[in-house]
Amino acid sequence: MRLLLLIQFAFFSILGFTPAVAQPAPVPSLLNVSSFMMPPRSSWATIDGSADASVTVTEHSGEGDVGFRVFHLRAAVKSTKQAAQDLARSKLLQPGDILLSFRPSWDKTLAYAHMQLGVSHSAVAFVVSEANDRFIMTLESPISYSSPLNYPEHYSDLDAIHVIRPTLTDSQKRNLEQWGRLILTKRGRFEFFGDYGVPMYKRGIAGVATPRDEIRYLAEIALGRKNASFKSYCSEFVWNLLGLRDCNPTAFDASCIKPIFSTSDGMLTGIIPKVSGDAGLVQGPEAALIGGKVAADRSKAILTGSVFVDVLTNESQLAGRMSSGHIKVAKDNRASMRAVSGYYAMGEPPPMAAQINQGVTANVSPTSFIIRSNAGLDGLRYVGTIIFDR
Amino acid sequence: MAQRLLFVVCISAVVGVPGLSQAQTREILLNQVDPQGAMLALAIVPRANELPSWIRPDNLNNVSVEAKQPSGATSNVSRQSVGSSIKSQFAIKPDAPGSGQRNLKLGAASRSSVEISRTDDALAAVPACEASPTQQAPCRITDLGKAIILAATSHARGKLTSLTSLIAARGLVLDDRSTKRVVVTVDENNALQHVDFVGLVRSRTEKLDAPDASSAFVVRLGRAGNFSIIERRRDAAIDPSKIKFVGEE
Repeated sequence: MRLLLLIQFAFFSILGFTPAVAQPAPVPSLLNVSSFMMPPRSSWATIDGSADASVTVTEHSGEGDVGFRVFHLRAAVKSTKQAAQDLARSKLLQPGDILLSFRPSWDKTLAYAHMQLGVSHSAVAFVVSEANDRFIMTLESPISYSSPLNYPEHYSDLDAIHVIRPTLTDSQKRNLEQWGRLILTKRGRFEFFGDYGVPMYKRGIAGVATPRDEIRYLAEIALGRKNASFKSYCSEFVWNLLGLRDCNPTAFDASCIKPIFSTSDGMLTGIIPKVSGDAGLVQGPEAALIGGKVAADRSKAILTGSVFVDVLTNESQLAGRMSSGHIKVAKDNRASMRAVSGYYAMGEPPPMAAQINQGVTANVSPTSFIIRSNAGLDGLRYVGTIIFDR
Repeated sequence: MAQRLLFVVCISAVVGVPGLSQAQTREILLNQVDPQGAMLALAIVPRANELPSWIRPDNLNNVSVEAKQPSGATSNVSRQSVGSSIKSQFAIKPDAPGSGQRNLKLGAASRSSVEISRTDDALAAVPACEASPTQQAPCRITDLGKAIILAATSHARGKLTSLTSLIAARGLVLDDRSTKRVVVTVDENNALQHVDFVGLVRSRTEKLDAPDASSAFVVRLGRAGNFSIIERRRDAAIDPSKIKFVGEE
């Protein structure tokens, strides 16, 4: 059997032909998570398959019409530039794709972690080359993470990465690349801001009073017109950068700014009843269940019985699943999670949603990008999930 | 050209080339396959030098793990939290019929303690630990968990440099912020090679800004019980001025 496979592989190698069709297979144990963490199939992008044998593609289903499309890389390339090279050769990623750090270990832990769908971080991917060596390069906050997927303090312990694709024209991709180059050449001007609850437009920065102002501020700093630092958390950085996709930096005019989310201010509120035409910060699981065509009564049972509840409270066990910072945020939000659970238990009454939203500052979390994709909004599509298991 | 080279490699693999065969190792994330074993390993490792010498392979046939009730707690499952640090108690109960009862508490003076005791063979009835994150009842640890305990016991028996001394000598501090991961490297026969503890230490100067960041420094426990510090470094640095975006090509 081994001999047969080797000869077959050798034959394909000589012909220059790579088998690329996604294969159905059992869910990899790493991704054996609750179905509400899986993207609905209706949100999946159409792809051509892997163009390189170093990356294989499989598809997996959860409860309902949800699942993962998995990009399998070799275990040996995790947190190395080789992973970025393999992915570039596979042609599975495109410039402007959003990379979401996915933590399957957050499943069956705390309500807040469930609400975040296991997503802890976001970045933007580009395809670059250096002396004919093509690879994927990330741009992210902290700016030090920006790398060919090999920054040790993040990528060494990252087991899975979701890829979410915004709908971008070639011109928009080129614009983002130009902004990316400007940011990389001014790395010293970019700092990480650790409080995800206080968006930049709420920090009292002169001239930054609305979400759109943040995008203009990013452009001005990248262009060297502002002698200031751009302090952002990861999702804020991604959201602001994508807001410049229609802007050519050689002729920047603020009128080109267009937030990636089509809400009134470009950011997300908490809850939109029934996810009708919009989706809020807490609605990733609900959007997945709706998109997955899970029956309403079953969805309600999942949301109130599995999602917005703390399943694991033993702190020693939690310490092996998430950082103390994430545990603290989850604890701080326990009352809010109970309120959301109550909202679903009561059948999603709009007045209650409005009441909850009053306590929500419009914001963008790393999960926002997959929430909107799950809900079929803003042209965002799930491409696949990268793991290192071969 | 590259594909022709692949063909040569394939043929070489078929016919076999002396010297090319090398022991294959693989990494197992213990948090995923045996969360209780990972929890136990994380509790034991800081006090490996205190482990009793009577722990041997032949009396570790049935070792259970449970989150143990601390004094003053009311539930079956213990949980103590002091500030941001995490404190718990665990019981290791090696099954050693007829060998009498022995008890040892590690770190008994602190609020965090590890209790190790011999019990009777009734423990054999305890279910095996599963990969369920929510399992909190006593369960028998996996072979991997057992191998880690034995490695830690070798450390105590060999009177090797303690982890505390090693951390101090390297100018590191204990990290109470990062996710704790236990990554076990095994050979092709699933024999333990070493265990890496991620998120246990960090350097004094290391900036771990993002909430999901973990230190570049990792504590490694060898199968002979020796501790070492591994620094994870990026395998390639990028000069932004030398890269071309695909649209610039």
